[in-house]
Amino acid sequence: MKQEISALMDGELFDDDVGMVMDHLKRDHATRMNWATYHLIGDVLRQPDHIHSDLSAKVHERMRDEPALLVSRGHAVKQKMRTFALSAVASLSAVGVVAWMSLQISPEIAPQLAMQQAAMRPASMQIQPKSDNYLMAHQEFSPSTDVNGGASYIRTVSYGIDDSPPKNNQTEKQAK
Amino acid sequence: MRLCVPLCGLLLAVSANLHAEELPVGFDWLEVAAFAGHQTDYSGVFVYQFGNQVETSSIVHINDADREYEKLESLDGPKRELIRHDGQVWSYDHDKLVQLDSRQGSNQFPSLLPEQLSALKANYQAKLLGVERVAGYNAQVILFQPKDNLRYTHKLWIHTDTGLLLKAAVLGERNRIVEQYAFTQLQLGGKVDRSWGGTCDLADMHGKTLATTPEAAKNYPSTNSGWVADALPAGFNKIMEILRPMPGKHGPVTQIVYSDGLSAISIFIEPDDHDEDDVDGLSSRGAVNLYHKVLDQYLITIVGEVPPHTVMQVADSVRYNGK
Amino acid sequence: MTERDVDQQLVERVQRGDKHAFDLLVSKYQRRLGRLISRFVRDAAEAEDVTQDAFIKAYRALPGFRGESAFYTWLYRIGINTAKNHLLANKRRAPTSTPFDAEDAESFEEASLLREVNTPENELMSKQVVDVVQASLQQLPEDLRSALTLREIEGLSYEEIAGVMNCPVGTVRSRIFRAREAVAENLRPLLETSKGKRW
Repeated sequence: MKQEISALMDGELFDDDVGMVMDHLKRDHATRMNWATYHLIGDVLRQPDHIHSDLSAKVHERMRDEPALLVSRGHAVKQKMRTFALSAVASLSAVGVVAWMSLQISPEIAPQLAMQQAAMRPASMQIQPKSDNYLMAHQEFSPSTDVNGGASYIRTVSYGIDDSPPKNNQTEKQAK
Repeated sequence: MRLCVPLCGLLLAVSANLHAEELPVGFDWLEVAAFAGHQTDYSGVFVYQFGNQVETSSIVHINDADREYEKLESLDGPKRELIRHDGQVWSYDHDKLVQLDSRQGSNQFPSLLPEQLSALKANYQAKLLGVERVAGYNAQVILFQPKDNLRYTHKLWIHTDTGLLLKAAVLGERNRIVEQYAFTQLQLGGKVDRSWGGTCDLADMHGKTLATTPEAAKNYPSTNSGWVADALPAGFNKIMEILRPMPGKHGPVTQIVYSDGLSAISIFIEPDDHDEDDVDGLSSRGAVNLYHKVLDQYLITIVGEVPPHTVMQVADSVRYNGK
Repeated sequence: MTERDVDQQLVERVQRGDKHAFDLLVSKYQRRLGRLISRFVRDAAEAEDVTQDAFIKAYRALPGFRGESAFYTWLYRIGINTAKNHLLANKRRAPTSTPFDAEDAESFEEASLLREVNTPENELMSKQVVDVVQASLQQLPEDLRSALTLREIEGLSYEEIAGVMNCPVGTVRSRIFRAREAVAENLRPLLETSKGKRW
């Protein structure tokens, strides 16, 4: 893995391996340390007069208070395919319905739906149940309530959070 | 389905333009759907999907003599029920009905205010995409595409006969689905199954047995708190500013609501109670994004069915402009 | 896949909720960003705080990053703004009177105008790290040392290095890795003794 890290940081890793190596970096603290050390070496060689103490631990500490992001993007299709394959078992029950739904969706969207499904998975900082009151208060004045009727209240009673904690929490724990 | 007759006339007028590609007429469908959503009797099962979550729920909606009764019930996961009656909302909490919220006024025939309609036309492009079948019914498909990236695309499937919304998808960047829900099974009009509790039972509940909590007192006072948001996306007009009670809060909370006709953004302002659990930052559920931040001893909460960066942009621009 | 693509992939991972991917960007860019910021903020401890702030700001702004520019130019722009805001807040004047934006960031990289002021303890540590790296490099076999130098100092691609060294690209890949690993081997005991303020 160390050799792959070395090639990755130089932008010289084979495209097919990038996702796997990055997944490994995500999981493995020691691998991230190798990444950090190799970059330190590069910086020492380039700018030996400007080496200062490591800030990444401090930044990481401050990042604990930051929510995980959720931005859906159009690229990295290969990456999402792979995630989907890995997570297919976990979401087996969902797949049937989603497959059904994708038939109902217009052609320009249908092929992406399954991948979309997977791509959204790791990014969730879900709204906490204790914030439901804000959602409820908001929902009553939202035009979506007029157009969508009572069904739009499903957002305020959705139970997703209780059932499956956000994945990033789990990885946080593993890292400790 | 007594309302079917006048509605059909309205829809015929709209349907005449069905095959044209891009017409302002698309916006009329919103009013049709809003009208039908209140007036139509229906019962059915729908699925709601966001991210990797799929949930199934049943819904019954009855309008008797202009009084609306509605029950939403989850069919999977922990049992949850929500009852709406004339703009008030109750939920079952350990077998006891608790009133959650009360919409100001009865709001029987909500239609778009003129300024909302002009905001809609200025900020979205409506496209009629033809007719598709949903849950066995024909539906007109309409796409509302925003002209900037500060709001989501809304795709609606509206029943061509009754005007009822059969399916809705919220799309983000590159037409990716942020959330969607769709009826998988639907009964309309006279065929509605009333066995779930019946209109009479609900009416009784409304009059007597429903516990009314202080939070749900009607008609929250309007206020002018002096709080403003400078960076609202174009077309988001202020709908109201109220001082309201909120469950779990000691004092009243200021709520300011802005809407562009399709989506709304609420700003909540309350004294910061230093609750560690109110995590600063962004969280999401389907198309709804929520952002908490503390500003000068106040907890500011932004909620809206707009993209995360829009909620954050609004949050960053909130300031006190009072005396 | 270029280095910029690797950054872009890391950015996309952060945008999909992977905070560790952001750690990787921090460990990669912290010294370059710190050096840029210390041009504005002379005090070393202050510069360190501002660098941290800039990373947090970058994280918060990341949902809006669309990859039109390279991540590092975008990051530098945030770093410069953070530094300027810091100076404004301190009611001090920025040391440069000429406008300075991200386009200049790269040329500044080479300009090396800056002398960092470190606390004695950190300075000692920094010096040790530099000494170990440089000593280790000298001990490396010639082919490993050349490969790593051509990559890190000259910035050549593997293919270009293969041309210079007259060997297959696969050999370049292996030499650079072995060089890094040999230096890292010597560095690790030092980095581990300073746990808590990791290097």
